[in-house]
Amino acid sequence: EIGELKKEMVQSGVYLQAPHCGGLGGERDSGYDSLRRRMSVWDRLTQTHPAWLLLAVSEEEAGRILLKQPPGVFLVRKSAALQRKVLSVRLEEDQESGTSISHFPVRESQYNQVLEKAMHKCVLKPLKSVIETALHDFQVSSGAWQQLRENLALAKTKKPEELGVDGAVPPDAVAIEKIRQKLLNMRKMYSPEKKVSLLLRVCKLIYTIMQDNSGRMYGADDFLPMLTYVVAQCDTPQLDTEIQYMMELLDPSLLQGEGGYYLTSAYGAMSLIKNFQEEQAARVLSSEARNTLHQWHRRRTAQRSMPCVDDFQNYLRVALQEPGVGCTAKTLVVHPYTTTEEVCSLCAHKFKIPDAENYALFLVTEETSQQLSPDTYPQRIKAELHSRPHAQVFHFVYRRVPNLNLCIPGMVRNGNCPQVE
Amino acid sequence: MAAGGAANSGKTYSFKVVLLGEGCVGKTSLVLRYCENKFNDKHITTLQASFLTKKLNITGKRVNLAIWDTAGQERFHALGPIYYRDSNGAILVYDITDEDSFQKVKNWVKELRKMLGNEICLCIVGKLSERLHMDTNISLRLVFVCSYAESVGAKHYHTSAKLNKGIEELFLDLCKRMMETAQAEERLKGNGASQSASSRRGVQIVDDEPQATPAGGCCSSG
Repeated sequence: EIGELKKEMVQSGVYLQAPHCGGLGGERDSGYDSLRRRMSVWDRLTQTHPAWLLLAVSEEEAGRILLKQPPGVFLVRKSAALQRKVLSVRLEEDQESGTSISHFPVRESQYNQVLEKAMHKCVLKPLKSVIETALHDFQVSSGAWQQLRENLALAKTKKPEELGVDGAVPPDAVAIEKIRQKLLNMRKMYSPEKKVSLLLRVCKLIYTIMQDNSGRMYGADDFLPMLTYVVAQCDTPQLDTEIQYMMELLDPSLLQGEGGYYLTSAYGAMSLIKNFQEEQAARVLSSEARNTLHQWHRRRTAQRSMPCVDDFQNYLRVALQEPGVGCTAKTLVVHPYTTTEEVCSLCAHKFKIPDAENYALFLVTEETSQQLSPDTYPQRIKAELHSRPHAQVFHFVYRRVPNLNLCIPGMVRNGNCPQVE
Repeated sequence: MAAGGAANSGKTYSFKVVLLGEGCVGKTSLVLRYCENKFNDKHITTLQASFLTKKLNITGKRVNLAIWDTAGQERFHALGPIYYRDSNGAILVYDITDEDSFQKVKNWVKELRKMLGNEICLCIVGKLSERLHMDTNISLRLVFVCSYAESVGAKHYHTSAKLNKGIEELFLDLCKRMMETAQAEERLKGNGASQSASSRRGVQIVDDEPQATPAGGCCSSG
């Protein structure tokens, strides 16, 4: 009977919906152990008769089972009294009350949210400071942190109208300080949902000020420039990391809602500030935003587990190819207006190449290898490649120019020097 | 989510609709009028017009609309992609008396088709200023615009802020088309539907080593 039930659950793709039967007890089905080798942890959790679903267990029994387990382990049982399923979870020992197990009645429709929350608490909370430090160190070492600070400082000197605000009244210094404090508080939270709801409160505050001063309602035409102005005034470069954190970790189903909308607006405001100093920023941003978003989107929908460092904007991953030695790759800070020539000299420096004049940057795809001329812009090439409907695999490779004698400098200057290998 | 379609086996559709058009053509007032008095209390930014939701019931199917407004000024054009990604529909608004604003619409159509293909349903909306009367010039112009809309697979409407009827119609028709697109997609996927449901899950855990996993997964409770 149990085997049948399991089959049914796997076939119908049932995941968090518990079967309505009382007498299953805590037995493990026989196929479980072989299944686990073929399935991810999550699939096991959702598609097999899960080890945590122990409907027949009483509260006392649940306590006995969980006490032997480390904090974070949970089970789901059915409470006859409440006529509901109950999530019982083992927590750290509470010094005062002496209890270490909590019970949460669960409505079926809340399963997903509850599990998501539990996952955040078990996994994300302990990792938060590690993630933050890593992101920050990375930003500092790449120079992005310094640049963001400079851009923020510059944007802060701008009047609202210079950032596109047209008529609406901006928050005064007191309100800005209040918002600044809220944004700083955001850093203390580990839950992406909580961070987003704080962001929503900030947006609401901005709206309220705009509305109180005019009595009218505002759409994006007025709100986005105002948000940009407020972000610039708050001068909190940490917000950039917060936005990344939320975009990567928020439950995808929430990305379409209000939280997703204002997160997108915050991302937009930050992008505008980041590109503030660049000449003709708007035009580049388009391909760049597309590039970043394309990659972000792929990451959040295509089950890619880890973001690569070079997925972030303003970075380029370049591989050094040496005959007989293989490839070493480095991630370099490459801005949209950095030329291939500049990237080459950066590579020579980073890879410690003594005879840099014999090396060049190549765009390598599966079938072709193309030397890039010194006056091209690698980031724009990357953006262009990413914006194609069927993205090809490509790499930027720094390597010795073959047949140096045949490659006349003029030819390189004039454009591409294709070399099919 | 681009598939956007039915979350619970066809019962409720959730669609994202992005609102594009030059600043000051009145796209905000258009959507405000449509959603008037139907604000959701759950939303923190109640009574603001940048992000609005609307619930509909179309031929017995529930539809939740999330309407994303965008900043229309040229300096924000580059941010378009971050707003329209994953949209099921787009409403492109222009001013009938302003040739430039129509040119912008054409640019958006081109960009949306390039980036999102034919999966996104497009509506082109000409805003008619209230003082203006329908003269021959405008009628001719509308004929031209309608044929353009048809050529790019979009529908064209013209409306004034005073005429609620046009707006209702516009959204109703857009929803129907988005439902058709979603249903067609579902049919295409067929049995793969359960897979796509799991790809939409909030947390993804993938084992790196499919073989020889040590006993006792992280959440097993014995």
